[in-house]
Amino acid sequence: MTEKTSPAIPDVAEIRRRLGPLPSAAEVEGLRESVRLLGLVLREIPESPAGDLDPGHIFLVDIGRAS
Amino acid sequence: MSSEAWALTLAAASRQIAAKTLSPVELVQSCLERIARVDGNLYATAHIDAEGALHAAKTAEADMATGRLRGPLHGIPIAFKDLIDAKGLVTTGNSHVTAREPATEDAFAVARLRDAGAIILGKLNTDEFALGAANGDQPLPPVRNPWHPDHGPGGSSTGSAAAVGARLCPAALGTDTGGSIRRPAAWCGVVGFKPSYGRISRHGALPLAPSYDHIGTFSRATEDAAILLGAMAGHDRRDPTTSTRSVPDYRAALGHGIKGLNIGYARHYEDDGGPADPAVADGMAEAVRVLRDLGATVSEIRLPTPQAARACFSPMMLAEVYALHAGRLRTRWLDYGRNTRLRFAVGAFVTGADYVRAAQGRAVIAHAVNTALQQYDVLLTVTAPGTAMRYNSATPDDLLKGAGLTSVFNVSGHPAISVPAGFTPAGLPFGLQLAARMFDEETLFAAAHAYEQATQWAERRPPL
Repeated sequence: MTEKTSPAIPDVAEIRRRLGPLPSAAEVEGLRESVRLLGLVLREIPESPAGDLDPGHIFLVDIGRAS
Repeated sequence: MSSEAWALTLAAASRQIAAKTLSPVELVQSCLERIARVDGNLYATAHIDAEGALHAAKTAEADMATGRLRGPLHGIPIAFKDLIDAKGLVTTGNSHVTAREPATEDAFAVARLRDAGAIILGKLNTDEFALGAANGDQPLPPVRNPWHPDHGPGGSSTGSAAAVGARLCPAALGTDTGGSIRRPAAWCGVVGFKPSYGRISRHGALPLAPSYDHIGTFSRATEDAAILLGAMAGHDRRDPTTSTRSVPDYRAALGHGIKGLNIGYARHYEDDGGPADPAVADGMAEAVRVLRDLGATVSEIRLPTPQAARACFSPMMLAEVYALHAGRLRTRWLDYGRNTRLRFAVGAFVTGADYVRAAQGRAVIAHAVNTALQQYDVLLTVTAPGTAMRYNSATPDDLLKGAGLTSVFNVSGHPAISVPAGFTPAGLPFGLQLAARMFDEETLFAAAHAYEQATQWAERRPPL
């Protein structure tokens, strides 16, 4: 069972930790909004009608050659 | 005829070259003159190798004089999105971040085309690294739409779509990670094709998100796409995702027609993000009528929603992009364009759990598309519910609000093509999207070709 998650909106310190000191204050704020939007997008991830897939299942789907 | 040779489709030029009524040199010169005349206001090209192209054209002509015709691509000039390596030319990705050194070898796809007799015309403009929508702070200026200079061409293969739409070259290659071939093709009035995942090697192309990236084609006719795929398809040990399946004669499939074909029509895609442009919705209704008149059965179906496709695509793509750029984002943040860096950086906040959950959703979507294709031979959707955006209007967050209509077939890996399907009253083109079973590009091309022959939308020329 994979738990439903969505990325937590990072605070300024977390953004600086990941990306370094170069993003401007306005860009940091923009990134926080983008991550919030991404969280909304992730709510639409579909689930298998037969129930949650085992994480290992994704490695069995070879979309390039198996179909 | 040679003075307007630039106006020929790839297949038409090929037939004239084979008949010796057009020479490769005349064709290349005609394209170079067209570029010089038109591209100053379009910005579709990144670097045109006029000298190299003319030299290759003379060689092609000399080969013909000795009776050597390599095939339908002999003497045909082709240009490449500036993410794809061509030996001796710099690949910039339209970024200040990349090194400015010439490629030491061709990308696999370019090598295949060169071996088949094609002439390397040069490189074409692109959104930075195929994701950073142009806003004037990248090395090359934003590309304008050949049908209306107040609009952009759609991304990310901006230059490839505009170049073929403007008749600068008969065909171009692009890359398609979430729709970067099909959407700009629709908005520039040309045919845009992405093959099955694993059909064309990506070796030698700058990656964006490797589990979604495809190389594909821009042309003005489906027949051209079939010719190009025939030359490029096949296994490449340097891209382990490529298939070892045999490569059929795609061009031969064009004559199969679509009588008796079952087409599943996902009309609900037209309502993504609000009601479709009325002209686009009317165009789709007319397209369904045309397909039925040609003998196909068209039934309305529901596919996984664009929102679901976007939900799987976005986190995986962003995480894969970030993985490729994490170090440089920390040290060269300001060398990336603003849209590029702000889009790439979102990937830093996708968790491993998000990625796994999206990958699971991806498997669900691939299964749903495969299930639909057990009942239907071909799937039909609009390529985009609207027309080309205003020039230079993209923002970083647009990425999270669009791309679902085309990305569903990147999520699932199925082959898909956008074919011109009409024009709005303002003169902007739009397209329809067809998709088929994995590795069944033959049926895909047969359907697209039949529709194209019955409509002739692709024959309109932009007012340049």
